[in-house]
Amino acid sequence: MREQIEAILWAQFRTIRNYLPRTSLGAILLALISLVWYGLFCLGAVGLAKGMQYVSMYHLRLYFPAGMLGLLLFWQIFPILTMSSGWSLELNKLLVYPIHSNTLFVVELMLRLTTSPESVILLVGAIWGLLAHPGMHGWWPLLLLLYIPFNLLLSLAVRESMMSLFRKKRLREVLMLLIVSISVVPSLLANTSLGERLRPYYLYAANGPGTPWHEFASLALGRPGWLSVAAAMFWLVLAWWLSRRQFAASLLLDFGQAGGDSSPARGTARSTKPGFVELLANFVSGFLPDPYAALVEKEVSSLLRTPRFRVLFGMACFFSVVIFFPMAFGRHGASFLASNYVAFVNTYGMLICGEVLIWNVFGFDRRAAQLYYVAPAGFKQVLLAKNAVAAFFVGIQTLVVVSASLIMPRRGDVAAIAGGIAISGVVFLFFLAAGNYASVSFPRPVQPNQTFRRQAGGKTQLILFASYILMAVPIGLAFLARWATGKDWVFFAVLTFDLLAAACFYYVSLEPVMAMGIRDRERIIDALSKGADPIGLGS
Amino acid sequence: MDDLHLEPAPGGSAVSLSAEQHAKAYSSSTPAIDIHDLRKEYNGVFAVDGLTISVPAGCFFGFLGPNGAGKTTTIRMLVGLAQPASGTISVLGLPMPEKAYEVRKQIGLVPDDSMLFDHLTGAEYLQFVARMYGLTRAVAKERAAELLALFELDGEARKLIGEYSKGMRKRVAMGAALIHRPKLFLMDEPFEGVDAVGARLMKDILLEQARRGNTVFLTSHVLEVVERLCDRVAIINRGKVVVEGTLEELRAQSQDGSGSLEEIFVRVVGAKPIPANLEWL
Repeated sequence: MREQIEAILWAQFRTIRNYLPRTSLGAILLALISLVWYGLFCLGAVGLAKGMQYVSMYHLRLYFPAGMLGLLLFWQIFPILTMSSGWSLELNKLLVYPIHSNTLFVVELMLRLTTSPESVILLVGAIWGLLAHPGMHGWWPLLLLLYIPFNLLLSLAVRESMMSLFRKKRLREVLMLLIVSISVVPSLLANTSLGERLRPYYLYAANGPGTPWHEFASLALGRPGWLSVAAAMFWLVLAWWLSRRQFAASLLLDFGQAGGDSSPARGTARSTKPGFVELLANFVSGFLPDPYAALVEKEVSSLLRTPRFRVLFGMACFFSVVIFFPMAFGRHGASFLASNYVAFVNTYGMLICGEVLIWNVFGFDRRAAQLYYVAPAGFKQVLLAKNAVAAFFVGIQTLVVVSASLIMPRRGDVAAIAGGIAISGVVFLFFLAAGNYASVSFPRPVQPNQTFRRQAGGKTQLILFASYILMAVPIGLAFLARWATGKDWVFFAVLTFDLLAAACFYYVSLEPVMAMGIRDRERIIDALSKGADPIGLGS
Repeated sequence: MDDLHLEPAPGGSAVSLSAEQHAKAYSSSTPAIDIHDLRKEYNGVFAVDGLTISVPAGCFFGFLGPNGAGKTTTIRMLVGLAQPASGTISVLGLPMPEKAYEVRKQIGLVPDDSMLFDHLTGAEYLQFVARMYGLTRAVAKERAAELLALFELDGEARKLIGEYSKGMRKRVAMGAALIHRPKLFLMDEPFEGVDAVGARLMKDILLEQARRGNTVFLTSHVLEVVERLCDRVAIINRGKVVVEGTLEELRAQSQDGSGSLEEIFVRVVGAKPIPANLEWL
């Protein structure tokens, strides 16, 4: 077993080593972002360790289980909310080798550390704090280390269950709605009186005897009873059993069809009548001449048939509306956010869908990329058609957001909505210009069937960051003009100018991007042809 | 079996065992692959529908069929990547998928293109595969270097598999299939995209393996290659075996007792004539 684990990890190390030098700027940027992010958590852990020494044992006994419950929720739910699966084994590539399922299980369990290293950092801080606490005696806090395997096992069980549910057609969309509903809970708790009302219940649940967070906390706080030891062991065994069961089920998957293959199997009876997707694609392309019509039709059809896009687009339309609602209209609701609700929500929605629609437009249908260079339609038409499709979907998203904003309790007036739409237009055009550049400069292959996301590349994030700054200036000027003059028409005048400027920026950026796309076709096709490795690098 | 003898390619391996030895090797053993009434369903449609074949040990077996006939699905079930809906599979005398671990240890697989690790170099990939089969690091490194040299992939040591051409990918996959000296080779279109010299080398190696008593289960759309290499052939269509036997047996089924494998294939699978309304074509 050890040799095979070593070999898998060695291959992954070589993969990373081979891969990183080719994206040095992106790698440095990602490393810096990671350093800042995890550095903040390290500081938090140090703060926790130092701060805990001043808390009385009475308060520790009262609140420490609540902290453990919070940590468990963060550890288990945060990766789902962010749709990041972390690193995981590419089982379809490894199962052809004689590897015991125990070996794969151990590697997969270790890889669960990548989903929420923040939790481990905080837990280590808590252990340190308890060890240094004047009221604590002995090494009991070290038993809290058992909370790590417990959470890893639970995390593996949760991940495998989620992946299994996501493979089921229809259920995937229902699950997404559930995730959206869960994700709004923290915002609701923070921005409404619900948080205060639920606090006693949370503390009650946290101190519930027999619960894993309470029993592990009891172990760590010293002098646990036999029941606590037995309960902690029970939870560990249960988590192990659940994760083994779920992992064994995933080993039995048919990898030919795994991943929610949206393409029908050979001979699957399909209706000859055009479905919703075909009708919509025909409708959109009906306004355009060929080859644009054909390209748009193909693009709309293929996007709507891929689970990943459906999930992303669903999130852009609904998740963004729900997530900003408590922040804008809750107890501590920000009036600026409320009056610019459409702009904020729409921009957030564009960020969600952007990976597919805007800044990696060739990554999704990478197998077709070669055709774009040999077909007489040409690269320019392809890029314009893809931009038109992005505009179409962002248009639908805007329609949903505007409709939602009209039923909000403190809905904005027509001017506020019109302002939101205009700002969205400016943002979209800047995004589109930056996205076209990113798409030809740093194309990355994307698995259409993979519902869990992978993060945009480091260089793409750098371009995105630059485009935020670029678009913040004209939009900020519009707000500044309204603030200085107190007149709405000035705001709209500047916004109109911004729209024209953004359109010009987009237009001017097209030529060099197209030239680069044609000149670097070999590099683009090469980049889009890349496949996967023994371990999938999630976000 | 004399007609199977090939002259060794320049620089390639010489064929050392006689045809008689080869025939004796595979007629005296239990089947390397024994599939009975195998079914596999996707979305209510049977990709494999009551497949029954028996591949003798030491046989060079051609598994043919039109696109979507169920060849790759069958190979996936043979290695345990797909679960059969019903039926039984025995590989090297062991039931699948129950004894998947033991079976996989003895299989050399040239899979479809997607199974390679694109961000590893050829040497790294071969070493990784060797270690998966339990070879020590030193042996893995040594054999990887030898196989890279054999398949003429040692020239660009830093090149990643993702940057390989299709033929190079097939060659490195072939190296990975050989590195642990398996008893059974499952080859899914191994010659696809490989140049004539590389293909000749691969054919020689596979023939040599068959003559040593190892079994080769080959799918290919290049019927001339199958005709030249295989002892037995099964043609499947819509998940079912439509014809199986030696080439002589297949020819005997034709009206005049002759005909190429292509003619037999087209006849049993059914060729579609070009419709009259496509006169613009």
